[in-house]
Amino acid sequence: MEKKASPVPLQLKADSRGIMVAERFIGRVSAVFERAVNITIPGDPMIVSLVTRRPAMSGRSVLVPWLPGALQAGDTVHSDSGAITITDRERRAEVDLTGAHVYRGRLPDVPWENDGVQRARFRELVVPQLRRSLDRVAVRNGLYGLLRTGARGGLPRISELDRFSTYAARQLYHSNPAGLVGLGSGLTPSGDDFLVGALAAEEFMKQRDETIDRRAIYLRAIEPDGTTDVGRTQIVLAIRGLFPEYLRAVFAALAESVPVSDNPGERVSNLEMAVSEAARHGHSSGSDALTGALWWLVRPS
Amino acid sequence: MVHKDSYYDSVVLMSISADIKKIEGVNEAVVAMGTGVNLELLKDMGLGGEEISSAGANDLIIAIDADSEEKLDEAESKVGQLLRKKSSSGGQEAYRPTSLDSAIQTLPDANLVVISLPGQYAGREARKALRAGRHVMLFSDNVPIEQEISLKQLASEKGLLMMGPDCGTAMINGMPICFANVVRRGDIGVVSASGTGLQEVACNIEKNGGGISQGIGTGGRDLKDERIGGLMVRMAVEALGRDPQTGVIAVVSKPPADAVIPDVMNTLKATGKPCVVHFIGTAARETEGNVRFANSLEETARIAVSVSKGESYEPRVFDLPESKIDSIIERETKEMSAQQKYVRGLFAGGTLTDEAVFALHEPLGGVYSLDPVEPAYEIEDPHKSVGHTIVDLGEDVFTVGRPHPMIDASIRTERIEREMEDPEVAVLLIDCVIGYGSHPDPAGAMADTLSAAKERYRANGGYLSIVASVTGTEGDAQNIHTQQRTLESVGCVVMPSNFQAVKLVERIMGASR
Repeated sequence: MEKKASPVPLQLKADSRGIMVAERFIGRVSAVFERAVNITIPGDPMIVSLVTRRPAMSGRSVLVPWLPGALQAGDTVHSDSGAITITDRERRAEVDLTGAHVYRGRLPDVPWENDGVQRARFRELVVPQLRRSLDRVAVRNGLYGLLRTGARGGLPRISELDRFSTYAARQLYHSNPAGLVGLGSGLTPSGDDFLVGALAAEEFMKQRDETIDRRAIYLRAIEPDGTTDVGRTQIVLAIRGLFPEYLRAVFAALAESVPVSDNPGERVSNLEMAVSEAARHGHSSGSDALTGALWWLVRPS
Repeated sequence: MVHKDSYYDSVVLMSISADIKKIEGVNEAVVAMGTGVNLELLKDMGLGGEEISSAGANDLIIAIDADSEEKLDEAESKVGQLLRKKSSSGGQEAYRPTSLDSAIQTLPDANLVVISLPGQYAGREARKALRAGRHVMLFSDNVPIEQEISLKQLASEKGLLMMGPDCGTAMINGMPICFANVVRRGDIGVVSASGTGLQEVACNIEKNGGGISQGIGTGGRDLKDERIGGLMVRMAVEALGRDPQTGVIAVVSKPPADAVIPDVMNTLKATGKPCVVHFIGTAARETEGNVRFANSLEETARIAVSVSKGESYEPRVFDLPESKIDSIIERETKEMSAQQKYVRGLFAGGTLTDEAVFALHEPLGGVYSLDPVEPAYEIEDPHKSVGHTIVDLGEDVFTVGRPHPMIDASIRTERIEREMEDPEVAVLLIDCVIGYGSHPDPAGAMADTLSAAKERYRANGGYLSIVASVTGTEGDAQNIHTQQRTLESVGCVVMPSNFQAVKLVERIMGASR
């Protein structure tokens, strides 16, 4: 019987590889989106994603120029010897990882002075710029409405928030941010994005807040059905101090304002650009993450 | 309904949810993942059910609350339609490259790369493009000068154009790039170290019956900094010298560094083609061989066209006869109050600002600006005019966190309103730049403010003269005639060029004293 010739595999060259993407793994495509493909690995709580937009890059992503149209959930995935190979019954796609830039996702290391003066000035002079930038571009039907509850986390004005946001507001009011894990409408839970933003703010300011109970958040995230694969991955990375590019870029722009001058407004255009880019990430993911960051930054310290 | 391990993009699902909510009789439509907390909340909302309660964290739930079974069926059917529509489109939007490499792979025949990135990243991408054998137009500013030198040297070695940094205008093979105008094709090649300078020259070439072979921008520093030494201007001139479709070469720039001029002149002479040069703010020099000098951007265009047509050039300042100019001046000055004595120039185009500052500094006895003729006239607070003040509202100090005034009129209208609180303003001088990249109706966006400004002075017993010019062509989407009519309808005197507008202001001020 004549053997059918295998089609030539599709070849993609990876631009970047997340630092937490293992060199060898076997998995399966779990979901295919227009700009991302998710890969689950047995026994691993985190997924690996192939993404086509740099702002979406994270410690568990691989940035590729395009995604083959024929990928489907259930395709097997092998990673070995510098390449990720995705195979279905008929053809293969190969992602060449050699020479790919390694993405870490660490936030800028700001040398805050110990006496708290710089941090206070930052909160007073720079954080309002972040808020103004977010005001202009925030996605209104994410968790952005939580910021309207005010710095002291008062109970929400119910008419302004949907049920999910109201629930989120109550969790925050009762100092239970872990209650946001898995919460919210949309494909990536808004609550997870919010928490990733809050964790980023905490990391950036190098101040641990007892309210952000990382252990509780982690345990909620790894519960069966606690949250989605994507949400779990982002939370676990964030707890390890690794953040997606859209968020890293915002904090890189904020870091430009430190030490805080009397006129921090001269740096605002970079910040506005980064915030605007972040707000375009996902449906409301970027906006929700920045909401979380702002929530943390404006709370009384 | 529950979609196991759903494959739809969030944006798609949100838009579906929004569409379903619009159906009359649908009270709520929620798209959420089957996480524990979401399932509890959906249950509280009365949107539970066996199918939903069995969903897992990676399953998508679309939950609908409707007034009736019929409405529920209608909504479900609509969801199905929208999801199928999304699937049948292949779920693939047009591919958008995410890197220069992938863009080159997608369009291997493209030979020009336009780069607009924050300055600290732009140089790297420009270098990649040059190494890939592509010409570069670098819109970004804030690129370190060392990088600009290195990029232009690399471009020169490879025989490629490196337009920029800070290059906002080019017209290549009839294609307007970034801020540019629709200009007739012809045999005049223009090289410009200034964006609106290129636009003003090109539009005046069209107005005077000529056309452009190429409009090449080089970035503002090319001739000003000795270290760059006019490298790109010289390369562009050499290229136009070799171009069989270019019969006349025009070069415009702010005054170059002295050390750069000889090399530029030698390059122009070596082409053997008739050349016209204008260094803004300097009087025309004596003709040197095939190189003639002009006194203004407009004159550069008019000399180039006359040479192109083989006609003799007759210098003149105004298109209108002197009698008409006199009657305009009389009309514009007769109702001014005694205290009105200053000019305020509020521009969107940097080079047009420079032309105005240079031309009016001496006749007015000094013009304050961000880039003045004399250092003593550097304005202390850019947001507060003093005496005669002419500013480029596109400068960084005005555009931090805001769009450029060519795109968004609010920077200018707000400044006009502030100026109008000063009863000593006699003349407001403005430009109006149209074409690609500009506001869809810049004159319209300013009209109300200009009208209110005139009314305010009238109400206080004075008269505000507003003199304007429109840089553009009939081929531009905004249409130059429409823009001119709009400005005239609110009482502006619209002159055919920036230079003529400036000279009219000089005459008005002379008459008003």
